Amino acid sequence: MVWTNRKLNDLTDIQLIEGCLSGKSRFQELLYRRYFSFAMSICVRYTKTPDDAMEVVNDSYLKMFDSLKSFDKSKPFKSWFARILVNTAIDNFRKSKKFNSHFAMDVMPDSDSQEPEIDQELNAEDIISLFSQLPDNLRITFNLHEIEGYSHQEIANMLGIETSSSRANLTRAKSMLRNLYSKNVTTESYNE
Amino acid sequence: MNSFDEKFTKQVKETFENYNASHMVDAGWETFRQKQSKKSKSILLIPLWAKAATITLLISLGGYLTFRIVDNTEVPVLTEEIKKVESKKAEQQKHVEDKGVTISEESKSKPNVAYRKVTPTQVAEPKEEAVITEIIPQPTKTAVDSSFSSETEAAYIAQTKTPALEEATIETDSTILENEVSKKDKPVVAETLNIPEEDEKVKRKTLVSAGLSGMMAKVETMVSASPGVAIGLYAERELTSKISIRPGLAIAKQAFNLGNFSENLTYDAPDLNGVEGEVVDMDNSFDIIAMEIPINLVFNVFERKERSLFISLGTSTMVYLSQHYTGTAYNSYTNNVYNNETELWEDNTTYIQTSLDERFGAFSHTDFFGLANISAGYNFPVGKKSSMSIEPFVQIPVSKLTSTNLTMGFGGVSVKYFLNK
Repeated sequence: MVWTNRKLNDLTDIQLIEGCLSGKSRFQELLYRRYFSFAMSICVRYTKTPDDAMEVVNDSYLKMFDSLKSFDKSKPFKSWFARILVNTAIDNFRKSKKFNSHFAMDVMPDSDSQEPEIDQELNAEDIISLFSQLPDNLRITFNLHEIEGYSHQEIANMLGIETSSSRANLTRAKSMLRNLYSKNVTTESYNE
Repeated sequence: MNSFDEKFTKQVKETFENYNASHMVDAGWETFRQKQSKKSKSILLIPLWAKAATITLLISLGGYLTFRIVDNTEVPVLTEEIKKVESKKAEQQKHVEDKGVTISEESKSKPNVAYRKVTPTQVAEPKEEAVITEIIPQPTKTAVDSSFSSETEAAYIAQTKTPALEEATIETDSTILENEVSKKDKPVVAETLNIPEEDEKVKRKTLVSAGLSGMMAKVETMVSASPGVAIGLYAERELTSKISIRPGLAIAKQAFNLGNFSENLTYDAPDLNGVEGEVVDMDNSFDIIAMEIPINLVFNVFERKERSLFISLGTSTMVYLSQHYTGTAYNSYTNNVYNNETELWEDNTTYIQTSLDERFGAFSHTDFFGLANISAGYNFPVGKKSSMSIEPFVQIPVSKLTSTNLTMGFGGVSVKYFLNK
């Protein structure tokens, strides 16, 4: 049977996975393309640049294809893959050893600073720009806790730090984001 | 939580839910393909060198063991004994000459392969006959070790026996000389023929054994309901007659079904719509396949008729080939809800079941010397060239084990079959 492109695109995740398991690279490509944006949406929040994010995405795809045999087909593929993506991003962070525990003084949170108002829709580039200015450990802690919903205990285990450090990192990340938002986004909008 | 944080988090979630990176997908796929082909090349290479290394290792080990066995049983014994016999012979000849006895050139140059029906003890006994006439030109069945080849035996016995024969033939009437010969000949023959005296050296060699172990595990405070199994190969090298060193390599498989026992496996319930969760119950199970590299010292505490009792002390390094942790967590979420009917604030509890799945790949974690091994066993012969040992053991954790840092200990029985006794 010859699969046309249209038919291939209509295949379910399970069908694609079975195709991948039978060693067909065409199915791998389709699965890759289907979840690429999703994968980037996660990884871009954990890395400084989109190029770094793509590196993590590709590493995650390699891991995913390698462990596809162990995937439980009764569970949603997306959440399983999301976990691989997050774990790979953390592994990448660990490898690079960029535990920036110090902060640049000009972006240190000011406890007396006024809380900014979000009066406009932020686009992806704005957020990526804000995240890229955060130290790695703060950015990762913020994403794991606020976006992925991990507890501080889980984050501590994942990053090999104390639970209290995770809490402190989150507080700092939020303060820094407020500060960065005030300095960058609000100023830019006034300038515009 | 303040309004900025809430709004910002919400915006991040919304923005990235619809994030579109399709403009990068082609470049991404291309990079991925390159990465994949590089990886598959390295995967192909690893088994090749791994196989080559294994074969080389096996050949080296086999060669070494063969050399040790051959080296220990033949060469040193013969060389040493021949040297001893030569020196004894020279001594005895000198002694005979000193006594003024002339040994004819003929007798000196007599072919070495000449025997008589006289045992060493008979030589020592005083005899009335002056000359023993019966000389038999073929090797007799003396007490020479049957493992020697006929040629070696001939040369060996000839050198050993000739002086005794000459002396006995020439001066059997001399009691003094007989006594001398008796004294000197006996140890020579005993030393040369009584091979067991040298056996201790010969037996100090390397034994190879295959083992099968059944064991139970104690994880944190609970004992596993299902047993684990390990199979392995061990080499045992004697250091002294009482102490041996026994390194090995075993593959162990463990499957446990356990309750909520360890804080390391306790799952922290995530928040549900801002309400903090609490884990009320949890089931855990995990499967582990590990490569165990034990190194133990074996002390023989009692030995009798090839049977022995021993104790063994050592340590094991665990290399994990697969770790798969699964669990089901039951979380409760309680929030305060205002009841319009009763006009009271009431607790509203929701229960959610969450499945957990955590896998760690091969070689993801190694516990160096993570277990202390203590065992005692009984070794007994099985057939002529093999033996077996039954060895109850315990393995006490020295450090936290596995990727999830669990305190795990093991206890069971190991049966080992020694291939070359």
